Amino acid sequence: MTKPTRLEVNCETGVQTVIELTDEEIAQMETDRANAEADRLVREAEAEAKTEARASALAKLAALGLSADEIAAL
Amino acid sequence: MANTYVALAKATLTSDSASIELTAIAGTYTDLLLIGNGRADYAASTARQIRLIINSDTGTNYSKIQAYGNGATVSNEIASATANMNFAGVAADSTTANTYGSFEFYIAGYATANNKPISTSIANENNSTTGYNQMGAGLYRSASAITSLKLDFQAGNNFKSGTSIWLYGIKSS
Repeated sequence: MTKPTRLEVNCETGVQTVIELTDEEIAQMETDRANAEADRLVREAEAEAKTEARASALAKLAALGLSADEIAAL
Repeated sequence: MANTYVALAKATLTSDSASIELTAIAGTYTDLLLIGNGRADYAASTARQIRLIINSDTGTNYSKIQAYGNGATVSNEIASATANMNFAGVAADSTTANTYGSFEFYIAGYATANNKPISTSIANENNSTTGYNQMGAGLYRSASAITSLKLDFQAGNNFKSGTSIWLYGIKSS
């Protein structure tokens, strides 16, 4: 299987070199990817909970008799 | 470009790449301008933060502030004493095919012994409602001249083939 690569550009010589990642670098990328995905799931869950809480609050205000305009003015 | 801009490097990826590093940057200019367009191989979102590492320094010598919006929400971030700088965000693979985000980093006084201020702007427009527009500022605290710049993704993604960068040295006129 082909290893991931990185590009190095020497500004003095103009030479561009494609370099295979080391096993350590590949492992770090996989760890970074897993951590980022876990963070994304947490953020999405938090955003969803916030949206649901807002919808619940608006419904309760409406049940108290507030009009849509009054709720929007809060 | 004005005649005070000197092209130091340009590159376009012909295959996906985990990072792009510019090395052996001469210290004979006043400022540096790094511009490019990029796309991340990430399909679960519309954009990916791009990470800048200077002189291979992973000490806690960076700080940043940025604001960005996607057409629906506006966000801002402040981070200090970090080991790199992340800025939002180039296009990710869930967006319109063959579409790249553009980015620009202006580094003033890069060869001086002073700390290095950096201004950034990043934009993604992809003919949908999920574009991004970012403005930010960073600071690299070091007395050393900047001789290398590395771009990658802290989230462990690759730059897609077709991603391009240009580095200019700017001489005071």
